[in-house]
Amino acid sequence: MVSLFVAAFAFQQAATRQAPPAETVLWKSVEPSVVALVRNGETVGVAALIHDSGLFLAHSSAVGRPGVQTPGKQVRGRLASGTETNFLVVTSDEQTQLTLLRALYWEPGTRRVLKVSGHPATPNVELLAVTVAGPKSGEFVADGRAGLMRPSLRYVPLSEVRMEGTDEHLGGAFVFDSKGDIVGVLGAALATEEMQKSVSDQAAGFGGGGLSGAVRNALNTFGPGNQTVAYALGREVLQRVVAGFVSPSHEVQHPTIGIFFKSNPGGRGVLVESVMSGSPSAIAGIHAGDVITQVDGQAVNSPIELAALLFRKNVGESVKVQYSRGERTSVTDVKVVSGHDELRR
Amino acid sequence: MKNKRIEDILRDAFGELDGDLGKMTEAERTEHEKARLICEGLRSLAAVPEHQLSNERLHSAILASMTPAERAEHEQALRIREGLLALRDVPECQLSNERLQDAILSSAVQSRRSPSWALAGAVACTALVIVAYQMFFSPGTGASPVVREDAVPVPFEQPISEPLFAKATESSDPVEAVRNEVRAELNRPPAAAADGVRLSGEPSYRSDARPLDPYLMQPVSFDAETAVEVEGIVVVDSGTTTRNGAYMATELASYGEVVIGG
Repeated sequence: MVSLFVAAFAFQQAATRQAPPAETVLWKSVEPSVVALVRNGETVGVAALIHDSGLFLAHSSAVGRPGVQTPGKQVRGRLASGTETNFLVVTSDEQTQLTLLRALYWEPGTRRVLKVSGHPATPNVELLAVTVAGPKSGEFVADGRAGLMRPSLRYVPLSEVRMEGTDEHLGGAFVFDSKGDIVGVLGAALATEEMQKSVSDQAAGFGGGGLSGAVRNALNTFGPGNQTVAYALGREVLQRVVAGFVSPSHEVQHPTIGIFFKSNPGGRGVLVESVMSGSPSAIAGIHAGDVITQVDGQAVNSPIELAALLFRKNVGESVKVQYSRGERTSVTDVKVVSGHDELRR
Repeated sequence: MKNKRIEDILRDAFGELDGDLGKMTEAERTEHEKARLICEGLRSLAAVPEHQLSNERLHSAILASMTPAERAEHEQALRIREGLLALRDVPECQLSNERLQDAILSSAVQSRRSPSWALAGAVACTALVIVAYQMFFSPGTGASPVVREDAVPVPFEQPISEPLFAKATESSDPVEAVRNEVRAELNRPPAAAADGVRLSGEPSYRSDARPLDPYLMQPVSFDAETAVEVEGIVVVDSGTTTRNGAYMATELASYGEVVIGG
């Protein structure tokens, strides 16, 4: 019995030494469903299987020139088994810069379909990012960062993720939680201090300069180690995009009422900057210069709040918008339409 | 009547039990014995450096810690335990007096034949308990060394026919199910705005410098629930890539003049 115990103990010790890290197990579980996109023999991005029929999700930056994706274009991808196959660009969602690819030759039922997580990620939890260079550990920092896409001025909800190192290729990387569900697609990385300073100076109307090189270097190297702050398209918007991509039309329906707005310097509410001609807001009688104070009975105090309310609406619904014009306050019903339809007007 | 017969059988097999031990239930006696042995073993091992802790030393330490009376008591408890263990696999409905008697007597005979095996078994059990205690519950480790505290089992393969998203839905149409899930997420009431969210400051660029074209009029979506918790805004320039191959992001502390489409 003693020897049995000793044998069991020795086995346990051996198991301890050989137990694979959780990240490795996680990577092995998603690897068969991830494709490396290659161009001229070089890996330029990754794509993830989102439908058993061979539909893959990728970030547009991995498919072609930023912001330019041509439906019908063919890209080449390499499976985990080493097999290479061709993919067709089906469509792209300009608001999120995500692209839908279809494998030209695909056998259904051979790979696990990757799902978008149904649960919010927990801050300070380790994540697995699948980058061009392979799997990489990351840390989830915060959800719900307000993102604004330039030059289109469109909002996207972002999740902040920290990655070790500064020179890794992160563009279009997929981020997975411990269950192997997608929690984000890395769309952007924070610019370096120099770039940040330049942008800030530019925004403030200065010509650059600022910190000396030595001070800047000290600031850059201060801290526990070099890290890259990356921003991922969050799970909520990913769910919407994936739902649209796998639908028969492959169209993503982002709700809109056709206005641009900003903070009201005069006080409460949100100032309407412009109204798109023929949009639901124009039809409802909203003009540039109006101040929106309520939507569906809920007070609106900042552009963020208004954008948030609109994000939660469904295409086809109507919203009750209360706005002020001079001394007069009015309430009007505005139909929520799909941004895709609006764009095609 | 049955209890009386069992007591008679036990008395025939093992003689009179001592007072306190006799009043205990079998489970209590086993627990009592386990606890006492662990305490004794740990007490005797306290002075031994960890790197010198072999199984032989453990065995010797535990034996040395026992008085002759304790050893006898220990052996007696072991015999009872073995008898009861032998009965564990017998369904209650099949527990006849004869079976009970046979089981106890056979275990008693066995232990009389080879008392050294009983002692070795006791020592091994004790050693197992002590080492398990040290491995799993000793201060500083906190958790099993084999399974990480934060490790979550990951399914290697999931049925392809599963719904697209992790959360289950009742709809049979996968596309409709996904839409329902998105609707459910989106229809949650928005969180109250934090005071710090309403920012004002220098514009990053002026809206009137931009032509109003259909491209700009694309819709807006925004994660309202958590965005209000974070100040500032992240501007993503999709025309510029960083050395990481990702679009360049810039954090702006204020966005008072920033125009948003929606």
